[in-house]
Amino acid sequence: MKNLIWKQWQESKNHLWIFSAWMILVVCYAIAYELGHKYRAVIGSFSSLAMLYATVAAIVLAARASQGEQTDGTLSFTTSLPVSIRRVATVRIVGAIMTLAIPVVLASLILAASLAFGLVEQAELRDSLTNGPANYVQIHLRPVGSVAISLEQVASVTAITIMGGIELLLILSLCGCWMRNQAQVGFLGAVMALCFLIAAGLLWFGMERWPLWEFLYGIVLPQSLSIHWSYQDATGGYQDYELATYRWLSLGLAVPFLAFIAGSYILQYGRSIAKFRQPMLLYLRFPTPSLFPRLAIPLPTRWIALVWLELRQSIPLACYGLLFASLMTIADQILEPGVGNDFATTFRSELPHSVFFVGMLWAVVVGSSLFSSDLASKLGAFRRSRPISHAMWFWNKFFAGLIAVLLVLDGVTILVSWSAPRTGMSNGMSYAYIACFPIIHALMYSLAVLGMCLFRQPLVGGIAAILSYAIATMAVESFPGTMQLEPMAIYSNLLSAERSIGIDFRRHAYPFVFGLLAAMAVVCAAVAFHVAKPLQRRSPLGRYDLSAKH
Amino acid sequence: MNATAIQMDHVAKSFSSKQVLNDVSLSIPAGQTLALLGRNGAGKSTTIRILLGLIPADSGTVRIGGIDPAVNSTKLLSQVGYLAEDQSMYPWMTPMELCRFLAPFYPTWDMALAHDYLERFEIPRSTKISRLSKGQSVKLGLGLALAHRPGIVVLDDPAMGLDPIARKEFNRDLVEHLQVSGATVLYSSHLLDEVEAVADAVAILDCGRIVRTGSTEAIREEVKQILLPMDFAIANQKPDGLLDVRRFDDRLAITTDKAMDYIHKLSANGGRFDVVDLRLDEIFEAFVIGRTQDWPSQSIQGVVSV
Repeated sequence: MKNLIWKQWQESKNHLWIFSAWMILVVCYAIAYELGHKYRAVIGSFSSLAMLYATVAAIVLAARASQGEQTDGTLSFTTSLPVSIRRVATVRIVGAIMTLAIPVVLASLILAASLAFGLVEQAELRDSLTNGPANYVQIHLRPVGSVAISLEQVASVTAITIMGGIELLLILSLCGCWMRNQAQVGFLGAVMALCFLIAAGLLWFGMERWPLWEFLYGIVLPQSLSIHWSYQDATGGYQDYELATYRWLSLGLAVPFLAFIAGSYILQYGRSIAKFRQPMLLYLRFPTPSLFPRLAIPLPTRWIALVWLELRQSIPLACYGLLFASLMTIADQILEPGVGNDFATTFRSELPHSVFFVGMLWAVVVGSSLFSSDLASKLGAFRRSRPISHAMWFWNKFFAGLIAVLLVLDGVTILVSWSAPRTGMSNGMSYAYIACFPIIHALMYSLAVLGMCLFRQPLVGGIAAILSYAIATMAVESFPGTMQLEPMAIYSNLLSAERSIGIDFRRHAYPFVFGLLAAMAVVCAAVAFHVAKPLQRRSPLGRYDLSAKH
Repeated sequence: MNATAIQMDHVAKSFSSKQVLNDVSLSIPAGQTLALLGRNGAGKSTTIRILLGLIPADSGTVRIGGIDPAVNSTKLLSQVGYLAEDQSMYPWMTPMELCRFLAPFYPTWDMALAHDYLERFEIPRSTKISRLSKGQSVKLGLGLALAHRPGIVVLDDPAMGLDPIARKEFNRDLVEHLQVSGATVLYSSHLLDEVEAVADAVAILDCGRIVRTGSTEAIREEVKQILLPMDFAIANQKPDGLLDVRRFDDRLAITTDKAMDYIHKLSANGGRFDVVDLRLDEIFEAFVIGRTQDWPSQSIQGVVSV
């Protein structure tokens, strides 16, 4: 057992250092932001950023816990050791849980110390029970909470974040046992995280609070025990939050529930090994319709053949994104039914609202998965040995994927929603959407392609793309002088203008910021082109893209 | 004399500080099947990747069919049939789709021949590639490598991962469909039994250096094992091409290149000795793991057994 723990430590320590550094930066950022703006909302900032961390860490660690040994090819060696595979699985999952939780605990200790020593202050907890959610007291009108109350809030958000992250980690690890590679686990994790995000808010969006339901719901979904509300003023933004009344009881009862999922993972890990002994594919693939192979499509030229190849991969992939956004829109309609319009009209009106967000995620999925197969060593060997120049391969693939993202996600949405009623700020299609989101989606796609070409792993490449965009926008939002340059803020300003006085694309720094985003997409593509080229380039992970054999 | 189809001169390649190829020179006349032999990590795949322009050499010159792969690898690849070790093809395509997809990239692609290979190799046309067996997948790769009637074919350990029967079947197909076509073939392998039936010539690569080239017959003729009494061995000088020495009680078993010269010397000295013909795998073994330090010195009089 001791040796298994040592092995797990050796495998996890790099993740632990990186995640700890991440969370320490998060808490330093939250404290510095609070010191600069004095919103008295430091715990809200910390909590929302910690939840983002927990989601990403859970996906990465679940991919490692369920498929790490298959990817590394060490599975057959591990099974040959005189140790129960359940014991191996136990150590793996406990190691993953510790790796996820320790950085959050470390960061929360720093936050607790800064609150205890009076470096920063936190307003009292938002109360929606007494006067109803609509009549809450704004954060700047609430008194500063005592140290004890603030520390309890820190403990609450820390526990909720950790338990929420652990639940995602455990469910993903369990599901990962039936999957074929880490990228599939990552994809499922992204979808699941989005579903968790929506489901967590289920009991908070209405005009009433139900403490008992919150308590019961919190047992199966600990993430739902808190809700964040974002606010912006002229100088910046802050996160207010609410906590469920019986949160500690819920968290206590969630422990056996999570233990049950962990136990299922431990049992399933051993069973899966027996089933999946064949070599694992290291790239992400989605099922494609079986109609195409039966069609003898003529491919008279090399360009047409390549375009056909890429579109056959990218279009179905993008269609899954549109389907996902559509399902999200339908779920949103069911949870919050609108009044006055029929279902189809409301759907058309709400679709852009889902696609702009899902599109950002899906552009990353398309970018990383489209390139992952051709950069994988075995298929890469086949592809490189065909008489296809690198430029022809890369740019054809890049543009096919980009066109698929823009046409299927944005194009279809624009077409479907163009004539839908524009009743609210976020409803219906707008020129602001057309001007902003295709560029943002293109940038996300480009970032994912670059991440994939750099790291040669779709999961790492995709996460790198999302994080780099998130960090960049967070940095822009942090300063009063630049916060209006954040792309979503520009979109909101353009949309407000469009719905009131009329849109003017020369205003709100649109040409500068979106010109810059477009230029960044081009630069990312150009860098990816060079990074993907050499067979022998050393990747940032320290591996050659050559088989070990010479 | 045949023109040279593949030519490598003084090629060197390093990855970071590791020298993978060192002064490698190789010449393959048109129509010859040359087996590039080497242990895992000897540099076979790197040699082939440089030949095809997939990676650049640090120094030296390379020509395949008169084309410099470093300058125009795309043109080269359209003229060469290549089957990589352990390659995989688009798993979501069917063999027929893959043939249709590849056809425009090869000016000389012969769809009828591609169909013929699918037929002969018993590859289901409409089954997704992901569902083919390993043997079927390798045969499909071979069919695709040959369907454009290339004058030069490069096979990088193609039968790796197949079971012995499937390997034999693959080699039978290879001999039937490749050698009769008159193509120049570079066949890299570390499985010598499969090479022996296929190759006209061999080149042995060890630690990034070509240690021996020649026709299979000539190498078999020139590399022999000689069994001779210890005292007779001590009385003679060790051979110039000594590759391996083993002691068996009072006898010495030596494996040497240029064996005929040494045999003539021994005969001239009037001693008794036996000459043993070696298989290709024994010759290869002598070149790559042979030890010569057991050659007896004048001072050794006693008998040391191994």
